[in-house]
Amino acid sequence: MTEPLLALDAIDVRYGPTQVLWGVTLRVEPGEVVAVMGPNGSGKSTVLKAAMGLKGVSGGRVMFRGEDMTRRPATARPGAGMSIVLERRRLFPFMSVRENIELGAYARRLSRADLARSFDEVLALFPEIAGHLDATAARLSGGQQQMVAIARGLMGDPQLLLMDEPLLGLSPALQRHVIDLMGRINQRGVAILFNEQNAKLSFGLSHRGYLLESGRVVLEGSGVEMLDHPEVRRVYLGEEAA
Amino acid sequence: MRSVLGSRPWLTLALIALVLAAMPFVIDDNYLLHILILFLIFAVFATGWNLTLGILGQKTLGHHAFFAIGAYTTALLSGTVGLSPWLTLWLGVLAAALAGGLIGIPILRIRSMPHVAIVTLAFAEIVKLLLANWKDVTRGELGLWGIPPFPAIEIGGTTIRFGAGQIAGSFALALLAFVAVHALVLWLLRGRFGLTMVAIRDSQLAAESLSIDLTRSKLAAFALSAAIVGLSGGLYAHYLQILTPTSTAGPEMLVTLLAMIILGGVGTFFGPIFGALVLTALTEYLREYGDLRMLIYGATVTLFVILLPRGVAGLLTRRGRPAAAGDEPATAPET
Repeated sequence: MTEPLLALDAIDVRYGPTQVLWGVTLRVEPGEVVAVMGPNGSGKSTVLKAAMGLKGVSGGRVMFRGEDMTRRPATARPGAGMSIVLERRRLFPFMSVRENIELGAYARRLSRADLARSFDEVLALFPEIAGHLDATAARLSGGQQQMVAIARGLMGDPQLLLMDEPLLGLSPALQRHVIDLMGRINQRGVAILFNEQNAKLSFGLSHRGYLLESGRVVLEGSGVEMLDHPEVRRVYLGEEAA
Repeated sequence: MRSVLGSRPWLTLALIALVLAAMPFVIDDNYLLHILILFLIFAVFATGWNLTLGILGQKTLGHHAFFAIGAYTTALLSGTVGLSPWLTLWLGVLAAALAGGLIGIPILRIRSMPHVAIVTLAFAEIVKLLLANWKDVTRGELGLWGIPPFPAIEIGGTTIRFGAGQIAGSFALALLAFVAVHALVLWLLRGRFGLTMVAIRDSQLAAESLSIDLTRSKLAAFALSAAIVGLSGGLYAHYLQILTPTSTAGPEMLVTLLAMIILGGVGTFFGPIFGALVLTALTEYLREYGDLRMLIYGATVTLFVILLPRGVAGLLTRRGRPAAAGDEPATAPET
């Protein structure tokens, strides 16, 4: 059996004295789309931050491509092949769109020519922002900013793209657009681990999914299995039990 | 980086340098040229401080300490020990850079800006008290006077002299430092270093997720910023040839320099230069008003801040800035 791309092995995470993740175990295989779904405050974002090294773990292990990354800082992740699209985008508002996207390749230390090539490849996925490259990021609409954030994430040339609430605050039309983008990114061989509150969106989009409640994984399975699970249908899809 | 640099920054800098270089040929008033020399020195100071305050976004309020460290180090090593000021100037820069790196270490652990402000302010106060009380060496508030000027140099048969009474040479030297420092800072800001600093200022979380080493970048910025401020301190010491702890590391220096940066445009490359020009001139010309001086000074600064909240440079970089209202912010405050 091949090694998973990302493996969180019974991780615990604390914010000060408060423990927010309890023995969370999760894996992402190469080329897979995996959803972490759960209600507000269940610890979904923390799972992604811990995977990226932006939040330290107090127990368990974070393995990426067979390498133990648990004690390695966040700055080691992009070079190893992991990128994150942060919640609420976290663009650099006073920089241009081009500068924001190019900074995504910071860890790769590309030559000017390689940077330009990589930039053009990524930009091909985002025709809607091609006309705004010199605009200041904060001037873009929320949807366009999300595109810039995803483009920035892709500039790291990741094998695994973490996406923290990528559909949050977007109109249904824009949500469909981002979902379509996620599909196309995945077709390029990039695995995606994302979190989302909506069960239909989460599990409808993913090969596999995890349901998180109060910092614990309570359910896992394929996307179809998760959508069909009576508990998910009753609590998260509002369907009456048969 | 247009919001920081404006458009065509090299051209703008070249024009500013050309206009300044022409000044000794069109101004026949040594007092006015003396004010311009002070402006050049303070512009270097303000630009150095703005690196951490505006570009890196760390609310440091103690850079006048690095000015004093640069000034006193070179003054003491040249005046007391007898080394050449051409050498001691750089030892002063080194001392300031080391102090910058040193104060940078505790700052790294603090994410709350009011705390950064207090720590750096306290550091400056310690430096001032040290200089004021180490009387055997610094002569305290009596002042360290008789600091040697930079030794004269000869270029093409012409002897160029420096120091308080030597306006032409002092102006040329101050202008050289001004141009060199601003060219260096502009070159750095246009590259990876500049993007790194602004990225850290605007979102530490995003910067870290992109593999930007916050510790190393901040320390480098602190040391560079302190070195530049230390250089301005050294130039000041060998030009005026007298120093006191209060005139270098006192609260008036803090307020004046802070006002220069804010009035000019905090976080912009050209802002501190404009701020230094306006406020150096204002400080000097208001001397005849005695006690009313600080009142008029304060009112002027307040007026500027009300009329131009983003500073004078904000007028130049307006196109590059986000709209003030109506736009959704790109990032929410980090918690």
